[in-house]
Amino acid sequence: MTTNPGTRSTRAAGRALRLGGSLASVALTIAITLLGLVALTFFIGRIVPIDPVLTIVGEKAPPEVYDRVYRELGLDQPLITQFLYYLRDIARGDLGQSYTTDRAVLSDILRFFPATFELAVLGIIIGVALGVPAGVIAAVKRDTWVDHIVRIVALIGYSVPIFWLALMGLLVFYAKLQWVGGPGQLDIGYAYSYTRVTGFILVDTALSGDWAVFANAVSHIALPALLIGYYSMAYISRMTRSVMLEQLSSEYVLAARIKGASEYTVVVRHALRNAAIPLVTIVALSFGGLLEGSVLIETVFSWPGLGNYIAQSLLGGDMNAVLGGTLVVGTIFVLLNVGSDLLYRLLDPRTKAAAQ
Amino acid sequence: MTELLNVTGLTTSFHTSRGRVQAVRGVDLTVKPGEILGIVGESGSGKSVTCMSILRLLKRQGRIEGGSAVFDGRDLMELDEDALTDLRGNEIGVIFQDPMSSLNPTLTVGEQVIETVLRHRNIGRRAARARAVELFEMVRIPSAATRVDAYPHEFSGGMRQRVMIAIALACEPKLLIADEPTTALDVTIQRQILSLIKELQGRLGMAVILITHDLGVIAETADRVMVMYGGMVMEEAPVAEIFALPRHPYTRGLMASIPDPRTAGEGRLSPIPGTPPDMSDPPKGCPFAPRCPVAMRVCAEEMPRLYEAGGPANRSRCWLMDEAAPARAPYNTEDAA
Ligand SMILES: Nc1ncnc2c1ncn2[C@@H]1O[C@H](COP(=O)(O)OP(=O)(O)OP(=O)(O)O)[C@@H](O)[C@H]1O
Ligand code: SF4
Ligand SMILES: [Mg+2]
Repeated sequence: MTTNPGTRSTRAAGRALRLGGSLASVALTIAITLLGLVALTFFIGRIVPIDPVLTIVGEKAPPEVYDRVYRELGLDQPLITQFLYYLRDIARGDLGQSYTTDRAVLSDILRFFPATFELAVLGIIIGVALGVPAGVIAAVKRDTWVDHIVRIVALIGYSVPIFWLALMGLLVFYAKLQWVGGPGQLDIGYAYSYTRVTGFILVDTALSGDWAVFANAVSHIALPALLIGYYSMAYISRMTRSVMLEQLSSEYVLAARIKGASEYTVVVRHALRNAAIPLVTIVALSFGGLLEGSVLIETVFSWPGLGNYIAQSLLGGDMNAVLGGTLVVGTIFVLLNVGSDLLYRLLDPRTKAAAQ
Repeated sequence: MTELLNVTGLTTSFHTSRGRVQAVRGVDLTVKPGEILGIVGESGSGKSVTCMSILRLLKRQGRIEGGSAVFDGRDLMELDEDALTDLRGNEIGVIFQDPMSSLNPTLTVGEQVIETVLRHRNIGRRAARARAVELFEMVRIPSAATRVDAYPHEFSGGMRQRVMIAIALACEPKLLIADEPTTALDVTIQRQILSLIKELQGRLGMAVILITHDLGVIAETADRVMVMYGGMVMEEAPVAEIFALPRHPYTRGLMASIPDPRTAGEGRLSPIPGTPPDMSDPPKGCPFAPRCPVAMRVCAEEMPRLYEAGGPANRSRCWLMDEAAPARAPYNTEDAA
């Protein structure tokens, strides 16, 4: 309106410059963290008492075969050389061969990851949709019965083991009531009535155009999604409550009340707006937790996800698969953290300017 | 002239885990339209709680246990929440001590003025924004038209306090409550802010309650002064009279503890020895008795009432004002000056 256009454009330019600078420093952080992660998986791979040569050649192989494979794997080289080879392979996207599935680990991961991701996305949607409002209401109605109920529900989510809830859920809603589908992504009869396109079962079955298949997929994913959604909700509602309590007792909230702002304005426009900044990090952490902590749920529900894949590979002594999977999950976690940090800085006008 | 605000018997306590803290114990106060009432007293004497009780904006554990506060014909203690929010920010404006934390860091300063105007005035955003710029000019924020789009962190403390003043005055209130508006600022900025408040008060004709620790500020700014201690009014008088003739021993103590502008440089600063009473277990007699240099036996036993002392507008809560008190110089009223 009355703003001097000159000032505004210099400001925008300065902001863009600072953003560019902060992106560079973020890229450096990511690179260093990932290098650390790779080094970690590499050394874990060397320390574990599983002989990769034996896994390939078998117990009864003659010594010359053993030696040949030993050299082929580069195990006769010094550690640092091995590490550099390892880095080079990873940079090429080569995570090695899985001995149990006989496929490249990367293609295995790409195959199993969508199922995990789909479940985690549904979980975080449920967690945010229920957890944020619950936490806000609990904070506003602090120490009333509403608050107590929210806290008890969250506490149960914290203290009851997830596999137990999963088993109970299957027992009640699948075995007894028949409200939901059982383990797996589909009933056996539907397994071949859709084409895998994206790897997300809900998307692929919807694309198939057969609503019976889609409905079946929904009935299968409902229980695991609700369960991890519940866990995410427990965490998010608790964190939202405490962040909101802090904001509600701040001076600027009192100042808003003094201006005559309605309770809704005070809570949503002032307190929640400020709470949203730390909440971004909380939600990202919760999502990362859902991705990485899905092993138990995936095992109970025979869900063909990454957690299940890593767990099976571990049992089979398939270290390439285990380390490759760990590397991927770790990378996603790092990216989530960095992404939420960037978002955090963009949301907060103080760091938006200071992000240099 | 009839009063704008008439508070009687205001009593407020905080129910904490350590018990009941009696922050305000039966405060009476009046403010006339257009006058500046100064409230002084040491930390913890109940100045802020008195004002927040009048606005009915106490922290969670606070309870108003008695009294009335009639503002412009309505008892604020009886109003419902809707009527109260219509009044806050509209007919009563408030500025706090700490301008650093009383602005929302995620909204532009202009937005925080605009929302106040939109809340109470039936005008559009464009007009509200123009009003914000006008207010920024009024409180003398340089390049007001561009600065409305800045965020609080881009402002210095003094500038933020100007924003707070702009917000408080956005709807031209009849009463401005300024709770230590300059305590958190640099000395040079303090002067500017105070003279700004005084100037705007004159221009807009509103009444002001000015809370401060600083008797010098009162001397320069206020028309009338009320001295608080232990959640009670200790003394009340027109400013000229209280500086010429402080009647209450506590007021005298406060005055001895500030550098007198006339005797400045001599460095005779003697803060009152001792500490204010614990308000979760206040003394049953005069709250100042444990520290009072002229305390008598009755003082610790019985609470003195507020005596009329020296004029119809002068009150003093001290046994020395009682007819039965021994005529003791220099604390007797006549020859103290
Ligand atoms: N939220 C609270 N919980 C418990 N006690 C409180 C609370 N707020 C104030 N009090 C108590 O009420 C009494 C009066 O406090 P008040 O803030 O009104 O003092 P004040 O005169 O404004 O002091 P200052 O000059 O330090 O601002 C103090 O004893 C204080 O400890
Ligand atoms: S009543 Fe007694 S103790 Fe209190 S101020 Fe007067 S003389 Fe001092
Ligand atoms: Mg105070």
